[in-house]
Amino acid sequence: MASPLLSVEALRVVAETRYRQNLLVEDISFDVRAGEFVGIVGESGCGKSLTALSLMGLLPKPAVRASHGKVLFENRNVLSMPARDLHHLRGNEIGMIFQDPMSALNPVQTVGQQIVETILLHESMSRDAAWQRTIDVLKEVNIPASEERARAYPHQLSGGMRQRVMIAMAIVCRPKLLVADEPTTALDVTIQAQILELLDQLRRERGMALVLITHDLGLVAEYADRVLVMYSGRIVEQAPVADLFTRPQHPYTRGLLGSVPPLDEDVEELITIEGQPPTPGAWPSGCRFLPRCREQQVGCASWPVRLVPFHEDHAAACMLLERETADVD
Amino acid sequence: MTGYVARRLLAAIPVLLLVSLLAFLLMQIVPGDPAHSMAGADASVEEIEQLRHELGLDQPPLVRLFDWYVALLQGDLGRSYTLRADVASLIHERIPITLSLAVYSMLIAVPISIVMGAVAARYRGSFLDLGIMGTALLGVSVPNFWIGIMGILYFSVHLGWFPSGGYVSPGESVTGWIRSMTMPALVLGTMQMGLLTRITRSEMLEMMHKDFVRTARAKGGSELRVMLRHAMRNALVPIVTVIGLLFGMIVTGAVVVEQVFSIPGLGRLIVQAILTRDYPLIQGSLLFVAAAFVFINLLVDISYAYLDPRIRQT
Amino acid sequence: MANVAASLTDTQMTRAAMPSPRALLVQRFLRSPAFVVGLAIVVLLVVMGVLGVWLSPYDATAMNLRNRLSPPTAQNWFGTDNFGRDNFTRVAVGSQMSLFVGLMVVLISGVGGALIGAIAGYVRSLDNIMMRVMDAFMAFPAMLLAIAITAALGPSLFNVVIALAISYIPRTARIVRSSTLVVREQQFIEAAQVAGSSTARILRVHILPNCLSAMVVQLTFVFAYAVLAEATLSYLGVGLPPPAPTWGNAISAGREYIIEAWWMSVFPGLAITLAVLGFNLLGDGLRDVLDPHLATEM
Repeated sequence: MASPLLSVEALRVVAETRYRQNLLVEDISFDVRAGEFVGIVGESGCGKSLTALSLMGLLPKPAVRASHGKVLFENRNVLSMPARDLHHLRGNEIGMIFQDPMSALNPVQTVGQQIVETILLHESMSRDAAWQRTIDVLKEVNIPASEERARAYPHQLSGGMRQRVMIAMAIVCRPKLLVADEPTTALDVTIQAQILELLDQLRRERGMALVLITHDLGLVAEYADRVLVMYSGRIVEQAPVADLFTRPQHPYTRGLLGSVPPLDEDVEELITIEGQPPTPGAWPSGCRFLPRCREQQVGCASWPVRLVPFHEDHAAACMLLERETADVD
Repeated sequence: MTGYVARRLLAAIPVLLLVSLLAFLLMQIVPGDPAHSMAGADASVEEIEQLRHELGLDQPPLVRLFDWYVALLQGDLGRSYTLRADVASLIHERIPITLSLAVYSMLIAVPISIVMGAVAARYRGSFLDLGIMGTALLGVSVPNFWIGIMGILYFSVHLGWFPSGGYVSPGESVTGWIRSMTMPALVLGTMQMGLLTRITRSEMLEMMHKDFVRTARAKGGSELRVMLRHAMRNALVPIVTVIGLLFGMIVTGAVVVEQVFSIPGLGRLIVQAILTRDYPLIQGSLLFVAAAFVFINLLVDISYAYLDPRIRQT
Repeated sequence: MANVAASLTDTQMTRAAMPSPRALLVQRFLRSPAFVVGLAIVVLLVVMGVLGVWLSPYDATAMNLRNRLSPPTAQNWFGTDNFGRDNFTRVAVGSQMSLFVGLMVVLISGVGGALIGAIAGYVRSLDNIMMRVMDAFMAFPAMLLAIAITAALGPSLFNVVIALAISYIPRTARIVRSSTLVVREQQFIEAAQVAGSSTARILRVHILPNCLSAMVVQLTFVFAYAVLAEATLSYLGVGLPPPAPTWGNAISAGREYIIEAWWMSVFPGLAITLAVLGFNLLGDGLRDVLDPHLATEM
């Protein structure tokens, strides 16, 4: 089988202050194949955004850094790449969009100038040609009156339009991978669906892989091929999307699914997970979900956490699953 | 944009009216009889009466206030008692010297401090940062008259590089002007450099944490490009405000530095006026400085709009 | 993103041992190098002002014309001036005078600024007119306004304090006003209004304590400016008139003997620099700890 487009191996991210070191992300491994749509789901603070930033080597150094592991993009390790190669990679081979398009756009440049800058950073062409291409890409992300909008400043556009501009800027150099970090969280519900539809359409048309970071399991259900569920800095379950929804293996995933309201039926009460996720640095050793887990058993606390394969491409980090699969054998 | 400028201009008018009122009131708080202290101890009663009449002190305060504003509208700042000349023309004579000193000083201070502040921000926490910030703090703390005297002691007396004072107009000799003005300009700029370095550093640090700077990195821009095109470009908005404020401070600094280096500028005129109790001259020149300060702030507001499109629109 | 690490240490510190809030604040102050060094300098100045004068066998104003312009010796550590007065004693007394002027200016401009700022921020109808007047004051560069006021009132200790206080009131008022504007929108103010508290009580009990940390930081910097401005006024001849042994006067006198007696102006100048530096550092440290959102450091 051909090697995957992106391969993350045993990634660990730490925050360092003068007085201590905190684990923020631990032992993350996953692959993304060309053209694939992968969703990474988790609550805020679970390390999903840091994982996304690591993919482009964008962790806010020196406070936060990847201390261990590899991020291989087409077999080149992003984490140890020289600055030159990294600049070539960013915006060109991997594009990225962020949660809040208002703060992510430079307030003192027109959106057109900002897209032109991206183009000229990676391709040699005249400013006029880059401008023309900017207008084209704005059309492609369904911005009406794109020539006029290109001359607007970010504050003159609506939230949805700004996020479309961000998308245009991220895809203008035809990257092979697009990383979208909570791209719809700051937007109205009606706009959310449009943006996601646009991202999926661009992915299909361009054969681009898409990694969508979100806290909303409902979003990935509709579009993603595969889902990674993160909790307290670790992947607790990964599975093809249909598999995850029909037979979730980790108690946390089951809890999350319980808190997604089914669209087709009326429910009296949503099942929610009690308690709060622990803050980084206050993580229990062993299974981090243990204090909130309703299904815990004797032995959970001392079980060395690891992903247990369940079915092809489906794995979960739960002792109960390991016992079940052992019984079957 | 024109609407914005017009509104700023209109807003400056009441401030100018209040400023001129303050300048007028300043003269009213002089204890005792100003004419008496101006004329000196051995003046005769007639001479004092004559002076009271010249100064308008024999009029009721409201009439004087009215006359003050009428004169101001005609560009008349009063008449100096000791120098026997119009205050306006005295200021007019001195202003090119002080202005050129201020501009020279800012031309040295602004580029150095912006570069130093940006470098300190980029290498935050390093010894370089510590060194730059320590020097900047020293610059803010050291009194400029003292650093001027120390400069004279070392560079003029000891090394003989610069004259210890005096002024050579550029019409006479350009090199003479540079020799006579370089040390005063540097001394005048010490506090400005310190302040501006500190502010540039903190603004740059703030900008470097912004999301759009991360976006610029995600686009594949080099670190230098990200710093200059995105972080610095945005940091310029507050930095320009500070430069405007520093121009106000530089006038105060000029009062001191011109005194130390015997440069016949506006600052020296003000000190001279104070020491000789020439109240009309004090009043007029202070009003002029304050009005200039208001005008500079106006320019800053306008350049804001140029630098920040969000302000332009409102 | 960048505050991740900072907020982490915060949560951990509260989690770990749960020391009292006061102990925590002290701990945070001691971790700020600016604060510690600044405090050390200020303490040194106070000690020099009190102990130096007490230990010195000389009187600051006692002339000794036979020992004029003596360079630093074991008897006269900082040398003597053109009247044979002991320079060290004069610098020590000068630190008393500078600290006194600074303290008075801080007190007066603090109280005045707090009152004006809180009233302008809280009483909507007065806001515009009060702040326009403050703007007019601020149209004069602070030091120039102080020069003008002392010029009009005449040079004396009292007038110098008044002039400097008036110059810094508008700046303090501005800061208090903006803090007040933030605080007044908060829920507990509304609750107090509903409960029938008077305006004066709301200002005193609720608004001003909430502006306190911003004010403490600002006033520490005012202290530094005041010391610098007092020296400048003295130097220009509009401050405390000689023979008052202020640092500014000493440098002004030393200016004429710069070639034959460098010590006359070097030592008082170092003292001014040290004092202003100390209060600036203290202000930086206080701001880092009390008002973290003002500091951009992590």
